Amino acid sequence: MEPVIETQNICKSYSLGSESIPVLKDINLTVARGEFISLMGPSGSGKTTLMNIIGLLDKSSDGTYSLNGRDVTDLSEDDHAMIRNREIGFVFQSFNLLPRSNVLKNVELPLLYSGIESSPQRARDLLERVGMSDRLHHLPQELSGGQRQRVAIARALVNDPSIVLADEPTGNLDSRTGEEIMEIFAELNSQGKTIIMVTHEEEIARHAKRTVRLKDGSIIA
Amino acid sequence: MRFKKRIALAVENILANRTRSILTSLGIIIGTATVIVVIAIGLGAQEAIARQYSNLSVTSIFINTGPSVVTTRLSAKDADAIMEKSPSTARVAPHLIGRLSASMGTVTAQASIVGATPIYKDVANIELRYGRFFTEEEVEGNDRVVVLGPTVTEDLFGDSESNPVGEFIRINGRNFEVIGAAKFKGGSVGPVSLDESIFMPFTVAQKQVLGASTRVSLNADAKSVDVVGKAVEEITTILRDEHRLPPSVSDDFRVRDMGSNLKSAQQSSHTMTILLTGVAAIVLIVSGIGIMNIMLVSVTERTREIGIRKAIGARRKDILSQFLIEAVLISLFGGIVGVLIGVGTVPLANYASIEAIQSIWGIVLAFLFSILFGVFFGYYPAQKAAKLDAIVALRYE
Repeated sequence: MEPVIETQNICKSYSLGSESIPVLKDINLTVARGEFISLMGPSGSGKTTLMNIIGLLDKSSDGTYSLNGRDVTDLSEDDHAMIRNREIGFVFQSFNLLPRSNVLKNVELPLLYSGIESSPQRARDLLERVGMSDRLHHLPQELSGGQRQRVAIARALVNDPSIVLADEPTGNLDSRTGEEIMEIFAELNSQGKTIIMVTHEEEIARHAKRTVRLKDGSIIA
Repeated sequence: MRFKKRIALAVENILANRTRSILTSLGIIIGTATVIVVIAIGLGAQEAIARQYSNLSVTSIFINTGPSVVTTRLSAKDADAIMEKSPSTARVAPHLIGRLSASMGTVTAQASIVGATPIYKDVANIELRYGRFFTEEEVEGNDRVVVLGPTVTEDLFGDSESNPVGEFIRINGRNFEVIGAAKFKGGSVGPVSLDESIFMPFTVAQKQVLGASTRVSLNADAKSVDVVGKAVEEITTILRDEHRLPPSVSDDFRVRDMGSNLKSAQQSSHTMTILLTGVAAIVLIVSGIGIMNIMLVSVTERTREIGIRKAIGARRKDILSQFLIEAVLISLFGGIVGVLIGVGTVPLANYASIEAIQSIWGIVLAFLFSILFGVFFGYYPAQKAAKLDAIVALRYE
């Protein structure tokens, strides 16, 4: 079967004055459909940068990146935005919900940019799936961290993306709430979603089926 | 994204920051109202000038006895001399003016007595409702006949539209036959309101009513606008000649052409309009900068929100239009309120006896400008928001 993600010799470097600082070196990563991968490594290893490149928030300096069999390396910023909207669901460490919008509005937000008329029922269904259907009209600040992350997961799923990218999704949560969130990810994965998760906690990483370790910008395992 | 949703989103954001939105639109409100009032006042000034000069064509020339030490009074003879010798002058009407009371039975009215020649009817554009103006023969024959202005007719006969022809009125102890009544005109020639005047033959006015000491003025008309200057020169030369003034002595009369008076009045009203419009434009620009300033603050404050929106798929144009629509809605709101205030202020200006005339195009212009400024000054902050890097924006605290 065709891989969801395939990177070939992805390099990324930042220029600091005249100096070029490499962050990623020749990353070759293939993720098959339905995988649940944790991306691990010490801080500065480049795992977040790799995540941003896979999520099309950032561009690689060199190499090619194919998403669902399509080379997306050199597409325009707006094309990347549209792919992010339809193919990628983001879950962030700090939730990144819009503070002035209620739970339902936050989950519906990606529909606003997808250009296709989606049924408003979808957001409600997803909120039910993450156990938040009784909080539809609450503001994020009225919710606990775990509840906010559930809302964020519902938002990530609203356009039915092929991959979910989670950047330290349990980083701001206590371990019990973190476990609950990981159960949701596990369930999503069992339903066929491809999940890539950045974490530095071993017990969180254990929930994934495969662990990719980065060090100094290279994959070491 | 559907347009309706975009508007709803913008309204949501504006309402979320109510105080700031109102403060932003305040500049636009003041600017729009100012433009409307300024245009109304400008139009009012033009209208006032037009009314003041409505009896005068640009070819009119006024000649008065001047403030010289050696003074020969102007006379009907001077008028004849000008007619005879000045090729650029179409006609000259000598007249003298005084204020007296006239009575009809027991009714008395104050009126300006204008002693004139038949040509005065054309020079002052007098239109008759009843009867006729007096003739050259009546002037030469010292006939006691009068033509009444409408206000005088109203004062003496109760109604400005009643026909007084054939009646006799008393002025200075003598009976005068009314031979004509003029229509309403408004406006004045020099200090005299034509509507409040009684017109009579020059000779009678000088000898029997106002007295020989009353100063005579001449109203002349140049043959065309182009020769007004020439006519003024010719008249000056002829009068100096008639009055035998040596070159060392200055004129004992004053010649003014109405064209230049009218032109300078129009010019000053035009200058005033430009000045006021300039002030209004500055107010609008300042309010536009206010919009830009607050939008920039808003963009900075909402950096993280922009990052989130971008991450989940907002394109540049989505962000651009979101901020632009907000700016336009705020200006639109300011424009509408400004129009209401401006339209409400114009009658107040009139109440404070500042002449101001409301015009639709003034309102439309003010309104369009307010929106234009919203777009213009909202664009830069909106573009700044659209260009934000998603990763950087997401990290913004």
